[in-house]
Order: sequence, then C-alpha cells, then structure tokens
Amino acid sequence: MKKSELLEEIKDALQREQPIDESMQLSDSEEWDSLSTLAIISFYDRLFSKTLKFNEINKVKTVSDLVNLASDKLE
Amino acid sequence: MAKFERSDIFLVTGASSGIGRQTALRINELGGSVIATARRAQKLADLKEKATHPDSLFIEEKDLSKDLDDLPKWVLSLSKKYGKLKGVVMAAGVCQIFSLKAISIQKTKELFDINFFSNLALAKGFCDKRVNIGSGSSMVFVSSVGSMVGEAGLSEYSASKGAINSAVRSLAMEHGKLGIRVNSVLPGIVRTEMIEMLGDIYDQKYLDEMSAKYPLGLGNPQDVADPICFLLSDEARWITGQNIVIDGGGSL
Ligand SMILES: NC(=O)c1ccc[n+]([C@@H]2O[C@H](COP(=O)([O-])OP(=O)(O)OC[C@H]3O[C@@H](n4cnc5c(N)ncnc54)[C@H](OP(=O)(O)O)[C@@H]3O)[C@@H](O)[C@H]2O)c1
Repeated sequence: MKKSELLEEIKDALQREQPIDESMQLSDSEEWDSLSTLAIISFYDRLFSKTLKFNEINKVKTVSDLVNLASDKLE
Repeated sequence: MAKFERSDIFLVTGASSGIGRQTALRINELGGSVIATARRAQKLADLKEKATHPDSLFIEEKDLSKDLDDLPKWVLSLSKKYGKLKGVVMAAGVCQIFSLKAISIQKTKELFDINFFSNLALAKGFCDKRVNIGSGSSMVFVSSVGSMVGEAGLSEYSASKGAINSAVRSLAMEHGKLGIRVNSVLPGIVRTEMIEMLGDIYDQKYLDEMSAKYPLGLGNPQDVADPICFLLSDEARWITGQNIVIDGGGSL
C-alpha cells in the first residue's frame, strides 16, 4: 500500500472532512476518540493482518506515529 | 403529520417496489428530497415519473448484495453528490421460505447479505460524521414481524430480521450522543411483489385466512410508509432503539 492510500484510510477512520497530513496532532483532536481508535485497530487488522495493541495505540500522538506502525507494510 | 424540507435528504433502499417505493414517494410528497436506490433501472424511472416533486427525487442504481465493505464509501459519495443526509430507510430485502431440510448454508448467507449485512454496511456509511446532519438524523431498518412470531419455513428469513432487531438497540446506544436515532419497523403481511412472488405458498386461500385473522386486515405499503416517515421526522425525536410492530394487530 502507498502512504497516500494509508493516509486516506486514516482520514476515513477519523471521519474527517479536511485533509490530514503526517504532522497532525491526534491526541488533542476531537476526531480522536475511542470509536475512532477501534476503527483504526480494525482496519490495520483488515488491511495488514496486524493486531495493534492498546499500549501501542495509546502512545500515538500524531498521524505520523500511526503511519509508522505500518511502516513495514508500505511501498 | 411529518413534514420535510427540500434540504432534508433521505436515502431509501428497495425503492423500486413495495414498501421502499411507497416510502420514497411519501417522503417526496411531504417535501423531502429522496435518493432512491435499487437494481431495476426502469422501475426507478417509473418511480421518478410518479413522484410529486420529481426534481427532488434522485435515482441511483445499485446492487446491495455486492462488495459490502465498499458500501460505506458509496454512501459517503452520495452525500458528497447530493448533500448531507437526514435519514436512511433500509427497505431492500428478500424472502426465502424453506424448511430446515431444504436449507443450504450458502443460500442462507446470501439472504443475510442483503437482509442484514448490507444494512449494517449502509448504517456504517450513514453514521460517518461526513455523511449525516448530526442532531436530527434518523435510521429506519425494515425488519419483519416474522422475527417475533414463529412460522414454519421462515427460520432463515426470520433470523436475518431478528439480527436487525438486536443491532438496532446497540446502534441506538452507540449513536445517540451523535444525534442519530435508530429504529426498525416490523411489518406484518403487506401486499407487495414479495408476497406475489411467493404466490405458491402465500396463495389466495392463505391470504384470505390471514386477512380474517388480522383485526385490521392485511396491509398496504402506505400503511408502513407513513409510520416510517414519522420515525424519520423530528416528531419522533425521543424515540430510539425501538422495534415497532406495524401489522394491523396480526401478531396479537
Ligand atoms: N411484504 C411483506 O409482507 C413484508 C412483511 C414484513 C417485512 N417485509 C420487508 O419489507 C421490505 C420490503 O419488502 P417489500 O414487500 O416491499 O418487497 P418487494 O416489493 O419485493 O421489494 C423489495 C425491494 O428490495 C430491492 N432489492 C432486493 N434485492 C436487492 C439487491 N440485491 N440490491 C438492491 N436492492 C435489492 C428490490 O429492488 P430491485 O429488485 O429493483 O433491486 C425491491 O425494491 C423487505 O425487507 C421485506 O423483508 C415485507
């Protein structure tokens, strides 16, 4: 998967109207709630067969941190 | 009486026939805009012709049994094309009558795809913040009284509808804070194509017997479309998570 496609998936999981970039702070955005974290966990599982752990996702502060969790799966 | 504005946009599935068709016409008559969807293009074109305000009834052909995981994105694309949605009515469905001996799991899964999973995927699409209007949004699933009352031959159909009834309650809990109400209607026997198609089993004799059993007689699509419009409207603002039986008293 290309990084741009992953960013699009993250945008969908956050249900965000505006575009996102890697520097975007997640921890203090209104879209970053428990339902969107669950959506992220489920799409990492679906697309990458990767089971994210809660402590991994708890450490996420920015979009870039999320991208890094799948860095080995990106083109 | 429910009333809608042109800016109130509703997605209606199963709009080519029966309950979905009548619901699409009724919403449109009450002033709302409708995105009417089904597979049969000609039937949808006929619907547009029959509408009170054809300029606010839009046609989208779609097979809801295919690529279910893409359905949320399809709903998102509709909201980008027409504007944010106030409601969705999920009336597409099929009925199969088989005794347990004749059931195939593969066919049962196909029935669940259209009767349950496609609706869940549409609900997922609708609940996206980019799709609905937030407070004042409403989802109506079309279940069946068959999910509450046992009838020989209906085990797979009734289970597919029972799945809706259960999901409605959890969806209502999950989305209430976002301003989205979630309900289902459970019709009894309504004279539509679905009943005609099952004519070998639901023959005139059976329908006469049932009609005698229903205190208010058998239903017409309008009898279900009106309560659906109520549930979509702000008049139903304090109703969520409910499975509402609409069957002329047939299940009493
Ligand atoms: N009639 C009754 O007595 C009764 C009682 C209880 C519950 N219900 C429920 O009410 C709902 C409507 O039933 P009805 O009686 O109005 O049936 P109907 O007249 O047979 O209409 C069914 C609708 O579903 C659509 N549909 C079926 N498969 C589809 C697919 N794969 N993709 C997209 N659309 C599809 C059909 O459109 P196309 O064929 O054009 O795609 C049609 O518009 C159903 O969920 C049914 O289970 C009916």
